[in-house]
Amino acid sequence: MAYLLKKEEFPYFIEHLISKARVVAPVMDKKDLMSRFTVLKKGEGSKVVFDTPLYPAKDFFLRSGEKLYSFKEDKISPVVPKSEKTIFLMNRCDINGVHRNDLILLGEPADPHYKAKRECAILIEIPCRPADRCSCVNIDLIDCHDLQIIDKGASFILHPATKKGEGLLKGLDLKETEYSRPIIPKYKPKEVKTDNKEVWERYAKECFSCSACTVVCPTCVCFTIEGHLNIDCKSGHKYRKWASCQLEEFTKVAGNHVFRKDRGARGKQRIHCKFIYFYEKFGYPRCVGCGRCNEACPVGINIYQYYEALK
Amino acid sequence: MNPYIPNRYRIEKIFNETHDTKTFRVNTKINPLPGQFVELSILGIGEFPVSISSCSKDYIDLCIRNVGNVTNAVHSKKEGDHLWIRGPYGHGYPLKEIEGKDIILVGGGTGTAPLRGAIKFIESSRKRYGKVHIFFGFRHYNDILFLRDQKDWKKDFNFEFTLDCAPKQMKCNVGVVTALIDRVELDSGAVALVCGPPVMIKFVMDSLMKKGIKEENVYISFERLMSCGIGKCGHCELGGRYICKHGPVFSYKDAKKMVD
Repeated sequence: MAYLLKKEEFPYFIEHLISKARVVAPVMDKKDLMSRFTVLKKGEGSKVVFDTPLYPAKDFFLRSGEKLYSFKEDKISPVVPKSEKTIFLMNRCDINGVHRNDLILLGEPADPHYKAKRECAILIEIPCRPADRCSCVNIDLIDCHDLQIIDKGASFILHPATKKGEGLLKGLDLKETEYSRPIIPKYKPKEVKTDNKEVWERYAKECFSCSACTVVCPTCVCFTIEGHLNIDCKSGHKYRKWASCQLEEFTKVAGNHVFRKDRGARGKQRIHCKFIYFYEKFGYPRCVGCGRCNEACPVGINIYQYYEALK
Repeated sequence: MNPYIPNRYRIEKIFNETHDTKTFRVNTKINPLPGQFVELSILGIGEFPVSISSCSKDYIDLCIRNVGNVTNAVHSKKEGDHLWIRGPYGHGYPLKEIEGKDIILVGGGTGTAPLRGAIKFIESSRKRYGKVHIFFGFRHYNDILFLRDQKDWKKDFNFEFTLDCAPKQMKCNVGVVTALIDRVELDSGAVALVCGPPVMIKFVMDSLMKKGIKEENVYISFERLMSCGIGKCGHCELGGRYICKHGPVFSYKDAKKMVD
């Protein structure tokens, strides 16, 4: 079942959501004309824009610097994951990004901190406004929203897909309507038959190894577990911070040996991970086609062009 | 359950292996399989993965070389002190599946540590296995690990080691470990367990192939810096497989596709 929502009523719909839980949505920052995922305050319902902000919402789910447990002398006390019911308004690609991260972080044994936040999250898919940087054709963006907002010219169609999504519409007087789901083509990774030496040599020459691509990627959730010791030398905590496969430190071991010293090898890891390795493990590409990495790259490395160039 | 939280175990005994390597026997009932690994923590200093070099119901042996911050802190521990450990993780050597076969174990440097776990297991049920050859390679005479085991190993198995360079008065094999493989007679159905630096693995594979050993009968143990140990952090991904979760032991048939 689906429901009709007049476009002029949209801000009231957002206010309705704000009254129910914390709402995170893309909001235009007037200072630098960039949209960002922002926690909405009461009365900010009209501020929502249909956009894919350059910085994804992944830090709401997996914050860098998150404490895993703390210790004092010989005692460890677990840090209880904090979470709050949160409604996310995101594009289809970003919601698929959450789904891909679920496959890794909720797989047995589940990451308790991610799980706590994920269970409290309600995902609303907003109408897509394609940008120059993105390309999500044939990339297997599946339905994994709780509620979908579809743009139908004069009005929106609200299509709840889960109980969580239906719950959001409680207390609203909406007219029912028909809706049929479009058919999405299935992704098939290309077969890479050669070692593509010249492709990775080119990548090694172009890449600055700045890791901007992995910072803005909604599905780059690799992390390092680090320890912090307080000044008393007796207590402290373990925390995780984001890590990037594009940096040398990623594969550095004691004795300063680096397994992936060459930037081309690190590029191969990133592009294979996004399009091939993840598909082999979970049946979906890890890339969701948002193209943020293409925009963030200071030298204009385009992930799709590199994937296309592979033989 | 938070999978990142380690447990505290007592160090029962410390064996000095060489000038920079010690084996820590830790009281624990985690009962791992040879070839698996654990994550060892010194709170406030750091955490690192370490392979298990012998295990029983009541203890595990961890052979640790002093190469960095955390291993240095571990080396300062004494018998009766405690270590924080979580695990065991990964898949070990398929020791049940290879019963009845001839086995050849090839190791280099600290890569011999996980193989010691397999050797100890084979020793405990010696009759279930055929001929066992053990070939170890070390750099110098003062880098030789597990000297205290070698008397027993020479009795039960065909054990030999070789050094990269040795003083003239020392009578031992000098050169690469592959020379030991080349001169031994091997059954083509034999199973090989290999662990060591990538260069060594490459040449050992050439020698084993020449002897007619099948690729699927060679098991290689990989080493990477795993941060989480449970297939989430991404550090140990190699060729689409997580060393921590899908390995660290891979058959060469899979391992040869895993390149950076």
